[in-house]
Amino acid sequence: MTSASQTVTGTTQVQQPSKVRSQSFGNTVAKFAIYTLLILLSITWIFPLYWMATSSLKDDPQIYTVPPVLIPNPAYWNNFYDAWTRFDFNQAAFNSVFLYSVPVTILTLISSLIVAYGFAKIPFRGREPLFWICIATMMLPWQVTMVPLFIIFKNLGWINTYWPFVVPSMFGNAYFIFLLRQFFRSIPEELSDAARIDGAGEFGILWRIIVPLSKPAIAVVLLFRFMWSWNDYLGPLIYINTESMQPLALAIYRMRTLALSMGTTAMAYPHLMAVSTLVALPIILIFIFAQRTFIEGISTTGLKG
Amino acid sequence: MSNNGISRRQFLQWGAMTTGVVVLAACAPSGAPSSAPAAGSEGAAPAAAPTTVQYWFAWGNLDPAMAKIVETEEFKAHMGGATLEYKASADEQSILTAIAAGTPPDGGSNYSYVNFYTRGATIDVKDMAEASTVLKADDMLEGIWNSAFYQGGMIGVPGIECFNWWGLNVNANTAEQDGLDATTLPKTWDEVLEWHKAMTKKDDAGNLLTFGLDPYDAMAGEPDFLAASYGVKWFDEETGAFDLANPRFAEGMDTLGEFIRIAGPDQFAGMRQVEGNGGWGAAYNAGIQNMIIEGYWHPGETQIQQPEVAQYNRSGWAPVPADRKDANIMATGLHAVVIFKDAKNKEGAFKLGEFFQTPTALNTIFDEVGWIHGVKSWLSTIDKNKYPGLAFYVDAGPEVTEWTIGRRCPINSFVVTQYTELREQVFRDLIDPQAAADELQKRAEAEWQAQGLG
Amino acid sequence: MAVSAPPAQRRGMTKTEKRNQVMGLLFISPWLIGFLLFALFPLAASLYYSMTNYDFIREPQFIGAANYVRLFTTDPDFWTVMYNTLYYVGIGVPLGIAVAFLIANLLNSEIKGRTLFRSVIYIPSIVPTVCAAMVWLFILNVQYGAINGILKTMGLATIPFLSSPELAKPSLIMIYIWAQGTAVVIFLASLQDVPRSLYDAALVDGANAWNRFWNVTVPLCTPVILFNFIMGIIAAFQDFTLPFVLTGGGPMKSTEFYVVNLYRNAFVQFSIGKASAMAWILFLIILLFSVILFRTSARWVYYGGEK
Repeated sequence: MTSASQTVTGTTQVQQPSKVRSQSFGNTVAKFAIYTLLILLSITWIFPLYWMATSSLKDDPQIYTVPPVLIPNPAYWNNFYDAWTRFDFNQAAFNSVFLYSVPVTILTLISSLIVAYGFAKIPFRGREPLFWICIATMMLPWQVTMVPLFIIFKNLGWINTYWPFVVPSMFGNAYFIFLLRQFFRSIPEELSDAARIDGAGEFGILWRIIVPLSKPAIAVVLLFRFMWSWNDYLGPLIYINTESMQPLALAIYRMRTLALSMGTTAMAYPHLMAVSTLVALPIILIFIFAQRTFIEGISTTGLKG
Repeated sequence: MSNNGISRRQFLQWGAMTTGVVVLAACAPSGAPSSAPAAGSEGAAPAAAPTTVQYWFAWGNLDPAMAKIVETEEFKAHMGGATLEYKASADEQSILTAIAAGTPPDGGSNYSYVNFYTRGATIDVKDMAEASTVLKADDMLEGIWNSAFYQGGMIGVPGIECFNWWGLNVNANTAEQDGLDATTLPKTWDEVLEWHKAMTKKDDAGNLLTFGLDPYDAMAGEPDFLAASYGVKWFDEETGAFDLANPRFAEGMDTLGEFIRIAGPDQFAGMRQVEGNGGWGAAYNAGIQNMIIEGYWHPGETQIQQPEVAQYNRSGWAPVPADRKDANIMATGLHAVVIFKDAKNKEGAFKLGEFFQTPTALNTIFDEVGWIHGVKSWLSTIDKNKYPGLAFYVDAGPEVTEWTIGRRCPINSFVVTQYTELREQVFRDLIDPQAAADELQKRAEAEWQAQGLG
Repeated sequence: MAVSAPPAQRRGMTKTEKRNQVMGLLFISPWLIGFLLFALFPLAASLYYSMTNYDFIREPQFIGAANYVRLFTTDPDFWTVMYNTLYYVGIGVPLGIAVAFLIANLLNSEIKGRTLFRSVIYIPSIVPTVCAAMVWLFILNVQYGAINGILKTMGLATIPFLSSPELAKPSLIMIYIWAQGTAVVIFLASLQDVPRSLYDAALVDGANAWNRFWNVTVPLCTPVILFNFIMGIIAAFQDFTLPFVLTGGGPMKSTEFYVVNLYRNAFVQFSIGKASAMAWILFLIILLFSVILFRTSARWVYYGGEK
């Protein structure tokens, strides 16, 4: 159970004594309505995912049949294996984890923490305009800065490497800087002041006071950044040239191009769904297990305006 | 060509180099990248002859054939020990980025050839082709050989899949169930429309169950087809003039639109969306669509995907209006290995193009992917009855009265986008056909001017 | 945005101020350096491109404001895609926020299994967009889609969700709302921060459920609504993968959104100059919307006592 539901249970007990009969009848009706609504919503929300998972167990005729096949029969469990071996997905998984997602996530976190601290906790001239420039960088479509960026990285000799993703992550990310800044600002200044009196420097305050208090926000950065790099195919499509270097998302994208040109590629759609399911699974599991910290973290993102 | 002081390359190089130097200085601890080859200094070509050939392919379906080709002794011998770096599904976005940065691969295929060539991104290979002993003009179907030329220059080495593009394919089984005589296929739009009506069935709720032809489907989707069917040359590559406002072009949009009005525009659009994500012909394979205008690959692909439908496949001439009923129209178009201007190994890329002419490559691609390249000496060795309907395409050549070479306009993709919108307005009765044709002409001319091509 | 202003005055810098100036710049220097290295040059380059005729291949030719003039006057697509995008953003973002807020309120009521419900609502926003688009295609399609398949077997007329020009945009908005899990979770978390004492006080004053919702819950959540609004607008204006993969801009350009068209101009029609001009126009539009939201926020956003 999450801390949130504990809070709720607590208040429920407080409210109990004030209840009268008609209210409790009304409550039952309201509860019934809420559960019904939630269950309907959940079914609607989960259906596409159900469809993705079950499509990965179908063969081509089952995909195109009317009426649609709700429960694949027979279920082709082999699809998962067949799809995974269609490209070198093991290598791709290795690339995705160790060359791309993990280094980028860690570096983004460290750099964004430092920058956000500067924007949130240290008053200096020019801070507000610089912060606004930082936010504004999110507003320009990536399509137009892509080519000049590519030229920079080409001149550095970084084509077909992961440096174009790893190096920029050492310089922070506007979204996370924004998010962490909002979080840091909700931490009372008195805590920092107390540490200052004890002779702590700004870095010391960041590492010893702010970071331990910001675990939830850090969880958000970790999950989001990991998820984005895990799902990113547009970047690798431009920078990665060899199959042995490609990440999972790019392998999936290539499976889709295969599905586009179905000529000799039977089972393209079920296989695409199978790898999509497999690749989405780790992120879903991370979310489910990290949910509690994560929800707390997200809660403070926009709160203190 | 006005140059305002600072050229693009200077500008980019200057900016990028400044940035590069600062980056390296700033993140000295991450010195690892410097272990990468010194690609930073552009143009510093390696002293030794390159032993790799970088080859990018825009689509994903050549992969199984390429995997086999590179393993053959013939390939290794022909390439003189050079290794092939093959990148598949490298779409136009990735190749444009690489071109802009001055680091394209050596060779590439299945891109918008004319577009690249006329802008100077790829080189004229005429001299290399004339010197080649492998590439033989007289052993290639004439239309295909001609499709490799543009205003006197040679765009690339034709290969991989260049063959006949247009034929009307009919599911003879359903045709006969609908009381049609499938021994003679319809040839004019009037006849095809009658078949379409007979084949189009709806349920009580008005949902489309089966239909005849989507005239804008598959290979019929581009303006090339409508124009050729009605005898219009919509773009003159010598003068750069457009003839899209031609009344016959408008008439064509109206006539073809009738097919869609009968079956329901929304139903059709839905069908095409799925196929845009799953290859052409899915509805044909499913027995929902019973006629399709497709290229030579249709019989083989249908056989591989849906043998029970493929056995009833019959192929004939693509439809024309009644007053042109004797016209046998056919298109072909280029697929080729093109060589990029900034390639490091132009010779190697050309050699790859040569290898696609050899029986080893032709057989592998035919077996693995089902594609054909119009090399006459090889065509005579294949079994033209391997797939029902294939024989029509193999034998069509001599009977063609009007050849079209497809996708020749440097702004073809722009025109296709606008044409797709305007013809849809026509069959949804939102615009008069002639007005749509006039508008298309106007937009094409404006784009031509704006792109500085005029 | 509240500025926690330095306590000291501006004339001359005190020792602390000097130290803060140095430390502040030091701390933000990673971003500042990154901005100068990896953002400033590309931004300048794209601004320059926007005033040229450029195709990635030949030298760009400087043509001044011609790309901008052309977009606003003769371009066949610009106003269509502008309309489509404003429709999508103007309806999708507020509706998405409303739905997300309502779902969050449902989840915040005293129920069992909140963790499960919350996961179910959130997980769709984790699925890679390319995969999600392919799945929706086979759910909404008029011929092969799951929903229409069921309608057909029941003898009902099918609904051309993605293939009629009238329904395509609403259908995409529906999928957009489906993927609003992040907003739901953000709202839910902020709802859990609303002090119970305020509700109890309202109960004592005899407020009914609607009054409690409208006068307590909504005002206290306005800062989060603002945050979601701005992030939503920035993201929705730039939505690309979903319409690109799902409808490719059709039928009849009804889902040709701004960035899809920008992409088409840049990488299909090789008009990178025009595409860059489009990008800068879009940048200004998003900036304008954000500024308006912030400027008006003082009137409708309720900030708690503490700053």
